[in-house]
Amino acid sequence: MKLGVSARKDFPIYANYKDPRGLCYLDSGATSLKPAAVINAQRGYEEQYSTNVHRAAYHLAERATEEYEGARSAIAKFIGASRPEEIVFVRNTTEAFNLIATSYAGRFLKEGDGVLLTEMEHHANLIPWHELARAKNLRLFFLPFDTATGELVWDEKSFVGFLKERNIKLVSLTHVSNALGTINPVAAIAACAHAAGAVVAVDGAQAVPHVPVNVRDLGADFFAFSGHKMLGPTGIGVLWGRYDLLEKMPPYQMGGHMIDDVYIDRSTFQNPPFRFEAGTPHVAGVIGFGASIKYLSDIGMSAVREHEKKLLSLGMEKLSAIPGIRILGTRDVELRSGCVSFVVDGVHPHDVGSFCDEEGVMIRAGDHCARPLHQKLKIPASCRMSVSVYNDTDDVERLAAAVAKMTKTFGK
Amino acid sequence: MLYRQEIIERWKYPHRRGAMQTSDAQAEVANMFCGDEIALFLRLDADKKKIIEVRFSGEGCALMTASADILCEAIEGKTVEDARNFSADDLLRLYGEPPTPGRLNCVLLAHRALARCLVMV
Repeated sequence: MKLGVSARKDFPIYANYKDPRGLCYLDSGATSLKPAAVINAQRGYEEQYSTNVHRAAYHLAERATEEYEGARSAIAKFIGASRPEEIVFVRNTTEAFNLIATSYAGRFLKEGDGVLLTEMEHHANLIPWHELARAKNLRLFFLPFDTATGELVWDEKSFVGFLKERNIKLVSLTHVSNALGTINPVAAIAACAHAAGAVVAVDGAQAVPHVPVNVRDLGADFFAFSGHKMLGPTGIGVLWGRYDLLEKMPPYQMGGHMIDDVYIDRSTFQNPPFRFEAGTPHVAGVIGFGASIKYLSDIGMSAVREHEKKLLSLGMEKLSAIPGIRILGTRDVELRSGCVSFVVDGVHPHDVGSFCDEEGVMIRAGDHCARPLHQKLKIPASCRMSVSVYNDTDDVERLAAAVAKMTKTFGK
Repeated sequence: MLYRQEIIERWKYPHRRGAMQTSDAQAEVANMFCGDEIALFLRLDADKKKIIEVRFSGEGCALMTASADILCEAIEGKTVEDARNFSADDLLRLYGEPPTPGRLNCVLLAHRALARCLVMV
């Protein structure tokens, strides 16, 4: 099984990193490292067949189109989509939510309609709704989370009524919190939302890289994620949408390739997904993304999940043993994925992050693009270790040693 | 080394920390990146030409706190004119070994507060 230390030979950055202490990268929640398979797939395209897709009648372009569409099919299969045409390529999760807000909610929600988000959303699934609510006079509601457990506070029995009373037409929530690591009960929430006549959009950026995901089992209507957080390239992400919804949505951007017929004064638009992919796409990125899907599929997402659970449990155990450390969110690893966030009494998270960096340990310190979540917790920021397939117990041990040393240096 | 002994000591035991109840100039600035906030207070002499006391308050990281403390000591006793000429580079020189690029704003936050204070003088 290629997980942990044995996976590192697949990631050139480990051999290229010259610090004799070795690379200790615990910030995959921000972006993951890239395996040679992904780098080579992108370089293969650039060096051997770097032609445009869906346009030309020569064989190199046919190969580019084949690889590009092959990646789309692989991604569709990976998340349990009904058909490849439900996969829309976008830049990242942020763009996917802008697309949903503009082309779905912007078209189909009316003044006074409600949109339900949660208090733990990444700004990607927050700011687009601020803007749309202002423009269309929508009402925004927020499901709270419990500051001790990091879990959403909601009542399944009364939830349909809750949604109907507030005229909620769209529920948009994260599958896994990027700051707390909470795995939200998306399937149960989606079932209630549908019973109340609402559509469900899910931020899967921190879910797809870490846990097996099947968008139909979740009951989502839209599901968004980014390639670069799951061993793929930056600049490429996916919006999955139910085909019947995508079909009735207007385009997001206008221009080349998204049209069907064009006259000098008007045009008609292609079917999904091409309607939403105006202009030349990030072909190398899509092909690299396809390679990352294959890499993860070969390991198997259940195996990835079991490996990461072991590291998260060890992280919680080691960090909580250090005096003055408080772990945010649930201690139940079955309800947690991807990360362990923590704060240190009396020490600013950025000092923790910089101190760990000097010890050769890379973690994230900041608000993780989830400022309202930190405001609710009454902390300016937090520290976060996040893991992926190449991490192992040695990384967690090094983090714990660095944090323990930091608490001694900073102790008053 | 980011956390030299001097920086840690100043963070633990700053010499010039504490808000002034009354001051001749005061300004608050924040670092949006990390949420750090600092308030800087100046007391001037009778003819408003010389800075006789400088204090800071606020919560933030060790680099911001240490740098603010260094700035307060450096400015105290200067004429207003000299304080206006006290540049960010001057502060960095006094600070010593430079911070990493990502932490530069932490070290310079106090200087932004000083510039804002001096607008009022």
